[in-house]
Formats: sequence, structure tokens, C-alpha cells
Amino acid sequence: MTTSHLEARAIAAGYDSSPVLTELSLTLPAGALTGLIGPNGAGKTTLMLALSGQFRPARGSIRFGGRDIYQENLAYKYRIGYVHEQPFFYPWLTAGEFLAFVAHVKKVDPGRIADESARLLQRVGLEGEQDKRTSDLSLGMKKKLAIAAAFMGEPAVLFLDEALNGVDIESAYGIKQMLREYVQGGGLVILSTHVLEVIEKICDRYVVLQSGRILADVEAAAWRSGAGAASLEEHIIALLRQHGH
Amino acid sequence: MITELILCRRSRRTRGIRLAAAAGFVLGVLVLAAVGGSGAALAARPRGDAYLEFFKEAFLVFCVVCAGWYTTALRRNPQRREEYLYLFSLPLQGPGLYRHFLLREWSASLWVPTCCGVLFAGLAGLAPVPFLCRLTLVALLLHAAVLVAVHAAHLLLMAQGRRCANLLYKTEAWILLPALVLFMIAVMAAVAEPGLVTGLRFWLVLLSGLGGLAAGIWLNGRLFERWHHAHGLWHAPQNQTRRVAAAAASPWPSWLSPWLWKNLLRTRRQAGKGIIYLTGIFIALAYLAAMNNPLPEDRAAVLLVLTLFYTAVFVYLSMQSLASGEEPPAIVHALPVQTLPWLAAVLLPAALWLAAVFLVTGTLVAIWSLPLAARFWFRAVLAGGAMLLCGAQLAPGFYPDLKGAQTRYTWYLLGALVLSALFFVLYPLFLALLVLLPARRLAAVRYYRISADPTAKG
Repeated sequence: MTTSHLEARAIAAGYDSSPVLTELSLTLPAGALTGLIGPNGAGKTTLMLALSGQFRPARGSIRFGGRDIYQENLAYKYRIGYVHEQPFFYPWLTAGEFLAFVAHVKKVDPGRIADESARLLQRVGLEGEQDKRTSDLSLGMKKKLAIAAAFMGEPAVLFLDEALNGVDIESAYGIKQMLREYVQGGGLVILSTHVLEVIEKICDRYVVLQSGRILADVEAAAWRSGAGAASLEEHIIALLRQHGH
Repeated sequence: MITELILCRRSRRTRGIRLAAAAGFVLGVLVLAAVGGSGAALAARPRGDAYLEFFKEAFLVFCVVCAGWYTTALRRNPQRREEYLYLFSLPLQGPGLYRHFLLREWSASLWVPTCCGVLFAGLAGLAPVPFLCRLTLVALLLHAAVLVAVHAAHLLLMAQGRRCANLLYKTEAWILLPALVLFMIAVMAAVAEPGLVTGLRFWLVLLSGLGGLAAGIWLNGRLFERWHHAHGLWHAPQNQTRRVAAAAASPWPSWLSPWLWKNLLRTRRQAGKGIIYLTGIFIALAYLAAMNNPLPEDRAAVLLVLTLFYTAVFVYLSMQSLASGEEPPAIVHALPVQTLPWLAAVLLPAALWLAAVFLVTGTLVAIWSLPLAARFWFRAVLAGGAMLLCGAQLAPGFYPDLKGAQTRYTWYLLGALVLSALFFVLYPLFLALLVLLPARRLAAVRYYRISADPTAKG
């Protein structure tokens, strides 16, 4: 895993001429877990899609390791893992088959796929479920499978869009540990969530988005030391109110 | 009616259109009944050879209409699970809910008796209009009777706890097929035996048919209610998943493209036998149509045209495999997709299927003449291959906009057809263009969306 950083410069994007991201610049260092917070419709998912090479902004540039992710889109996609808010699986495949499919598409060494799949399923709390059809999985199980699939192929960047919603406490704990280990190994994680407890516990920094603009980009350690009695929730709400939400 | 009102979550305008359509339909039926079944018109009969004309001219189209009904009825709707979860959560009575399902299915397939009416109208030179009106009414009645009978078979099986026989998700091919064959026989009998729908016997047939329908709907409603009460909210959705879960997991072959293997697994686990039945029926009908011609050259030409028509439709439908419903952007845009393996995963199975169809039709031509068969094969492979390559390149070229791809495919095909008809000598050039034009689009394919410019003035 390389330790490149992901950099967005003055990106602007929208749907049908309604702006979602406005002149947004952001640098995400490797070896850090960044949380994205913001009200519904703030542009979190659009930003994640843009940063993951799935939604090319109308203006601005996004670079990973100094290379434009849209000019070298295929090479970049080999290096990322993405968990959608509503994950999709081919319903006729089993969980194990879906992981094998992703592994083969990402060109993982075929000799390692079975072991890697078993390891990932066990880490996310899906051990013993590999022969279950993806259509039979509950929402929480689908999220876990999507997280396992995102980890497949040793990605350099992980995007998690509301990934822990619906995941049971024990599995969520395991996944959070997994993310921390991944970041300590030099991985770059961008996690969008409304659960501030996740931000508080595992994020190295958090970015507050509102109406497609960054309101705050804060190092978690710096906030913890200077927070005083205020909780993160109070801090975010104050910030949003200050900017007219 | 109350059920319909509860379930109708559409806009006032849409509801208005639906009400107007329903009123128009009732009015149309009343007009047909008045013209066909009143006074002296009730005794009107066609010329003795009218049925011969029907079987000569319209029969093939009638078979295509029935085949189309068969295909659309077997289509699975993946969004129904959520819909049923919603419907079952409402305080609705079983029979009311059943009538909603029936009404929806009936109105969705109302094009079948409408097409029959149009075909009957083609006999206007040989049969009096009142007789044709009566035939259309009988076709309408038979259409509804088939739906109710198919539902009754499903509900009886569902009541016995049969897993695969849930009419809420999909129709069973082995129940639908005999019902459709009976429908075809009954329609043909009404055409060939004018006495069945002439005089007072027409009203007898109509009234007993309507009575049977009402009784069938009532009984089906009761059966549905009993099943609904016994199995409750979750049984229907789980029925479907249990069926899928019955298939065993497969080892993943690393030497094969993952996209191709994934598609092959889908074919093995989800594909119905509908396409096999339909293709078989189509080939049989094409052969019959070809046999109408005395010269082997003409027969081969008719068979070739019909085979290429089949290919054009098959390719059009196959393009759906690369649509966002089958291959959602959540996967295609997030994974490192290489165009060639992705495309080949759809192209290869489709090409193999078409080759098998060409082989069968080519063998039929070989019965008449071997050199003709060789020429048939060459032309079918050339034109069919060009169509397949055209469609297969356009689908990823327009991804995720399937409609755009299918429209372009239709225009390219029509263009090639018209130009080949006008300048037949140049047809290899037009076929080459059919392959080369979409290639430009394919070369520019991108696996990400492009944002609209938020500062652009709209």
C-alpha cells in the first residue's frame, strides 16, 4: 500500500445545473481517517463520488499521488474500495461468490482469493454466511459484505458512505478496529456518517460540509484538547447555526 | 374500488387519464356489443372462406401477438418485493388486494385482445362488421378468462405450499403455456366456426363467459384471502428468496472473465425457459411461413428474413443486460471495469445463442438444398453478426442510458435496411457501417458520470 494523498482543488459539481459542490478544495493525507459530517443534502455523497472517480466535477481537479484520477481512472479504481449508502449485489450470487467476483475484477492473485475472502468475512462478522445468497442478507449483513468487498484487493483509499448504519454493535466494533488498523498501515479512509460517536472514536479529523462548502476542517486531536465541556454534537450544531442552517 | 383508491398514489392528472381510459374502454365495449349483438346484425355471418384468409394472412401475426403476451407475462419484476411489503402492511382485505393484482395484470395485457381486434378488422372485406365486433368481444372475454384461469392454478398450488408457484412474483411458464394454447384454439374456433358467435348463441356464450369470470374472480379472491391469512406479511417475499437459495454455490473459475462467469451463473440460476419455448415456436412458425412458397429459393429467402427479424429483436432485448438495472453504476462505476471483458460477457453468450438459432434454421434450409443452406448461413452470420456487434457496442457506449442506446440501434438498423433496399449491391458497405459507427461511441466510453456545470444558465 502506497502512502499518497488525495487532493481536490476548486471542484464544482452539480446535477442539472443545481450546484452541489462549490469551489471546494480539500487535501486528505494517507494514514488518516477523515469523517465527513453535514446535514442531508450537504453534498457528502457527491463529494465521495467525485473523490472516488465516479462523478467527474464540471470544474477543478482531483489528484491522487499527483495523478489526475479522471485521466487515469481505471488505474485509480484498482486502488479504491467504495461502500455505497445502499449497497448493490447481484442477487443470484452468494456472499462468497460476490467477494470472489470483486477480487477477480480487481485482479487479486487467484491463489489468495479464498483465504482473503474468508479472512474478510470473518473480520466483518459474516463468518459462516459465505454460502448465503446476497438477496437473503439483511441490510446490516449487506453493509458488512460491502465493507468486506471494499477491503478486497488491498485498496489505498476507502470510501465509506453511511457504512456502519444497520450494522450490529459487535460487528461495528470489529469494523472500527479494522479501519484503525488499516489507517495505521498507511491507508486513507473517508467516512461519511451522521453518527458523531463514530467520528469521536475513530476519526483523525473531520470535515463539516454545508451546501457544498467546507465549514470546518478540524484535526480531531486538536478539537479534543480544546473542546472543554462542549460535546462534538454541540460544537457541530453551533457551527451549522452560525452559518445559517 | 376502495382498494384502488387506497393504492392509487398517483397525481390527479394521471388519475384523470386512467379514469378517462377506463370510461373509454367501457364505452368501446358497449359500442361493440350494440353494433355486433343487436337486432338483425346478430345473425350476420362471414363468407365461407373468411377463416381461410385469416389463417393465410393474419395467423402468423396472431401467433407473434400470443408469443409477445407469453414473454411479457413471464417477465420478473424485481421491485415487487418492496411493493408487496408495502401492500401487505395496509389494512386491506384479501379479495380486494387480489382484484387489484388481477386488474393491473389485465390492463397491462389489454393490448392482446386489442391486437386481435385489429387482426379481425383485416377481414372486413370478407366478413360483416357486426360479426367482427362479436369476435373482438369474444377475444376480450377469452383474454380475461385466461388470466383468471392462470391465477386459479397458481392459487391452488400456493395453497398447497408450493414454493415456486407464487403469482405475485412471476407466472409459471408451464401453467401459462397451456392456457395460451387454449386461448389460441378458442379464438381460432370462433373464427372458423361462425355459428358459435352468431344469433342468440353469441349472447349465451357471452353471458355464461361473464358468469364464469365473476365466479372465478370470487373464488380466486377467497383462495387468495385464505393464503394471505395463513402466511401473512413475510411469506410472499421469502418465497422468492427461498427459491433462489435452493441453488448450490459454485467455485469461481479464475481462468474465466469474472463478468462472463457472473452472467453464466445468472443464466443457470435465474433464466427461465421462456426464451427456449419462444424461439422454438418462432422457428416452427417461420418454417410454416416459408413453406407457403413453392420455390426453395423463395422459402430460404423468407426464412432468412424472419431469422434476421428474430436476431434484430433478440439483440435489442439483449442490450438490457448492460443497462443500469442489470449492471448498476454502484458496481460498474466503483470497480475497475475494462470494456472488452465486460462487453464480451454479454456478447459471447448472445453470439452462441444466435449461432445455435442459425444452425437450426440453416439445417431446415439444407433439407431443401445444400448450396442454399450455405448461402443462408453466410448471409445470416454476416448480417446477424453486424447487428449483434452494433447493439453490443452501443449499450456500453451509452451506459447507463439504455433507452438512448436502443433508439440509436433502431435508427442504425432502419438506415442500413433502407439503404440496402435502395442500393443492394452496396450492402456489405452498409453492414460495415453498422459495425463501425457504434465503435466511435465505444472508444469514448467512460465509467463515471460527468457533472453538469453548476454555473451554467439553464
